[in-house]
Amino acid sequence: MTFKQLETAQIEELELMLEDEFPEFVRTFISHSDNLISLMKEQLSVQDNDAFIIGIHSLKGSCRNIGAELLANSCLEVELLARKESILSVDPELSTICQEFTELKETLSKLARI
Amino acid sequence: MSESQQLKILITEDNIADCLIINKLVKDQGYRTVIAHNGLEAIESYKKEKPDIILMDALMPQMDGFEAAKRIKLLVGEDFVPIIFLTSLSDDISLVSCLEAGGDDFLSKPYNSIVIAAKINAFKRMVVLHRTVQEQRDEITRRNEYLLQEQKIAKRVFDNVAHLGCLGASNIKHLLSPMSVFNGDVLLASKKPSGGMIVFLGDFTGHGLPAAIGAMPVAEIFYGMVAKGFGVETILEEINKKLYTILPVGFFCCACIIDMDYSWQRIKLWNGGLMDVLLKDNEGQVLSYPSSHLPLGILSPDKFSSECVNGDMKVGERIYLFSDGIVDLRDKHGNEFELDGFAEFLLENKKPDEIFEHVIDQDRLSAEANAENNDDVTFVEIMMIADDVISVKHELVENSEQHGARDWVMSFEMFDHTIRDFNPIPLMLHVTMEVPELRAFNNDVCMILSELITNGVDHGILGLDSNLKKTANGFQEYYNLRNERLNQLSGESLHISLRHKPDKYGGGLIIRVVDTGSGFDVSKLNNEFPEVSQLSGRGIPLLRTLCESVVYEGSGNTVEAVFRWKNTQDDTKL
Amino acid sequence: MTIVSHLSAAGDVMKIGIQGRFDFGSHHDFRETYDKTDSSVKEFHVDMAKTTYLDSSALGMLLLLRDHAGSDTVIKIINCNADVYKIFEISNFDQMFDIIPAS
Repeated sequence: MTFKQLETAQIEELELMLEDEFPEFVRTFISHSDNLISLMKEQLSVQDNDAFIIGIHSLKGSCRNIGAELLANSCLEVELLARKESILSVDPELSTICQEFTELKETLSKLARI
Repeated sequence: MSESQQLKILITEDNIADCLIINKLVKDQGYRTVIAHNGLEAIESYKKEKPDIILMDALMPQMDGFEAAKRIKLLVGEDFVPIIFLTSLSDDISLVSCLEAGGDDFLSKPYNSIVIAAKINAFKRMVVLHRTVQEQRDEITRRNEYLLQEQKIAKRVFDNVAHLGCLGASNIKHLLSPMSVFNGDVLLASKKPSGGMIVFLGDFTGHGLPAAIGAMPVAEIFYGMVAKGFGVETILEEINKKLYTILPVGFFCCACIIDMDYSWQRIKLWNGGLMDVLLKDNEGQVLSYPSSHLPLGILSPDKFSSECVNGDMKVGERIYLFSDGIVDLRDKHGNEFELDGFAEFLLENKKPDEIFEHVIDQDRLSAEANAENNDDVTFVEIMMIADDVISVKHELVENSEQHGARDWVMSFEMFDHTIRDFNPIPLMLHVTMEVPELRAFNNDVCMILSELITNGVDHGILGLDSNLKKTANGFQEYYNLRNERLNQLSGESLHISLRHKPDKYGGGLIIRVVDTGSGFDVSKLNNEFPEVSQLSGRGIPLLRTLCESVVYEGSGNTVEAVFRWKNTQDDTKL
Repeated sequence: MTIVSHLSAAGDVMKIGIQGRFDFGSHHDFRETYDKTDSSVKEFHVDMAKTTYLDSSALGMLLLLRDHAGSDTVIKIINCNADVYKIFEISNFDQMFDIIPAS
């Protein structure tokens, strides 16, 4: 099953609801998610399992909210791995997540014209 | 929360982007929002802002939603603040954790504005309902408190009216439970000025204040009339008339009145609507006096009957009265107290002194067994005692009393039917009490008037022989004969004259009674042969004790008694 | 408590049956039953066959019926069981009503 990078219906609904607050929202999403990813890399390096799970769970949730299904799914896979085995099996660079996030950033910025 | 004031919703979400979304969603629906980013902040926020509904993210740093929810629910207490968990947790176990933590519902991500609106709306209705119920409950509690206070005050007034009498007399034992006062039971007892005592037990229909309030005019009438020397029949007629007038249709008073005559060891009893009154005699037999009249307040004065039953009661014998609350008494096994059972118990019991205590124990056991069912209980035991003429107390009269009648003469004559229908003693007593100094001797004067007038009627005009009263059936025969002869009067009269004159030391009351009877041999009397003293009541010896002089004139149908009082500090009479 | 009432065809006898507890809570219903009747009703029969309990407020309600009906109207209290009959006996209500025990 393939996931869309950005579910149009979802993001458009958000845009409608937020109106002129949409660009601000996108900026917040991007910066907060950036922070989360940095934090998570740190938590991976010191092997803080619990904190990492909260972080990846949070990112997953907010991705769902904006319709970023692909990134959300990647987060889910990592979350399950961390819960089932340990963060030791997780890629310390979070390569896939970072890659997909970069691409998402571009799409969102274009959409919000920022 | 008033209608114009919108709901305040606390949003706890650690992801800032998500927080923005949910905040906008909720605000768009017209609610006020407060934000917290973790469990600790949520608790602080709750304490400070007191939101109406809480949206709580499950997984958060610092303190997660489950812990925060548990702690907040403790703070909420008996109020209702619904907590809706925001979660992208998908497994059932996690969802169950939400509910176990005190969550009332959950919202899953991605957020759907329609679902959020519906859930908040539903909980809003529950919050409003809960608050309305709480407010109403508090209002009811407040009103109840107020009513209880009112009742307490009313009860104090009631006690002042109803408890003037001689319920403390040594020959009465009573159990009047607090519930029974405001369930309409009234117990009154008063010494008669002519000696003896009258007891009244009433059980008003209904409960609470309306039942108790009827007792007040009854108490006033009872004490007022007994003190003035009225007989039980007249007192009953007055009470019935009063209750018939003031009580609404459908309300009445089951009652029993007992007139105890210590000197003749007799009782006169009227029972309208109460359970059988039981008398245990010295031979161990139990006699019952069942209800033979409609309760008071039902019949109009013209239809009301004050006819009493007469009976013997010797010193040491006891009579038992109950209100119907007593049948609700149950012992600790839940067994009912039954009237028949009690009668049997009375019959078997060989220790009369313990009977009353036994019933008290039953009452206490019943109260412990079922507090809420324990209703009004009134139980009275009255024992016949010997004449207590001597025990009457004298009260000091204020010497500063300037007004009053001290020099006067009054005469009153009644004929035939009036002799049958009217008791002049209260009227005569009322007139003599216009002499202020005689008020301390109310009882003595009443006894003197009673003796002289009764003798004049019974022995003078009606020609009845006191000796009849001594035999077993004698009393009934005596009264039957009395009624018969009263109805046949023709050309008879009783003349009473009262004269009061002040003297050097105080004053003297001269009472003269003339009857149209055939008289008796006066010479025998004036020589004070003991057997002759049996001719009347407690007799002439009593009169001689109380009066300065008692002289029979003519053919014995004229008597003049003089009662003198002395005006001194220590209030002794001559 | 349920009240079952029936007016005879000629409109001169009203039968009122009390089923269940005849107590303080019965006031409104009982009154409603006879309130609309007028002097054309010459007799009331209050049927206690299915009455399980009777207290002093019930006696009061019967007095209200007597007040409404007037002293000339016959009021019979029928099918009284032993307990019910005893209550009427103690209160001497047979002086105002015809109390008829259950056969």
